[in-house]
Amino acid sequence: MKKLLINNNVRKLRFQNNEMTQKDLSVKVGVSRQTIVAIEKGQYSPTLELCFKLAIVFNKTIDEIFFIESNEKENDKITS
Amino acid sequence: MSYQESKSLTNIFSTIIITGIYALIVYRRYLNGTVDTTDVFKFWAITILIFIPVSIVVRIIIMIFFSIGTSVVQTVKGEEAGVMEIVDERDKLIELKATRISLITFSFGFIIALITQAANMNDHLFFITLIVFGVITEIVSELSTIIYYRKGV
Repeated sequence: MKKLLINNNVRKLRFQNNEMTQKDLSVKVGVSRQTIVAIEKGQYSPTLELCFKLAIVFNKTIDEIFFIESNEKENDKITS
Repeated sequence: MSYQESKSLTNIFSTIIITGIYALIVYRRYLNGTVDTTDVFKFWAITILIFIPVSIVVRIIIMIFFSIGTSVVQTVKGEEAGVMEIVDERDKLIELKATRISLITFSFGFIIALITQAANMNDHLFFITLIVFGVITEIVSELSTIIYYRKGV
């Protein structure tokens, strides 16, 4: 199985939440600002614990924040 | 450049400088004949045993200056202090990956050092190979850390 391309709506959700800064979010979830930058750029896939923390901060479910980049052929392989 | 990247670069330079200067001192003493090299193992044991504490102390001094420098730069830029203290899951993952790379590199060096003995080469070469690969390991480890921070994990 190929590596999944996981993307996220963190940047969008930050702006929807009173234009929260990366620094504010990093303080709320207990990581460095660089980690938030890396997550937004898709350079780092956070642990499940951090995903839940982000979900709590944004008041969303994890799948509303993180999603798999559309690669239909690969997704079909996974679901079948 | 982030704090972690600067720290890795500082570590690379300090490793090269400390080992380089110490190697030069030992080599000069060796040329002057002020060290007893009849017992190869004793000579290297003393050399390495002196090098370890010297290296630790110099590194601590360099890191103190680095931290002071970073704090000054942060204050001048008006950034919030204390950024350097946060070590999160991403930092730990990168550190783990860099440690794995350094272990592989040093294992490779150890095998080469053993080959020098198997091939009946000079006993000094065994220790020199180990020390050279110690430095290479440090550089590779820090460079991989910088790459992981830049390209992502």
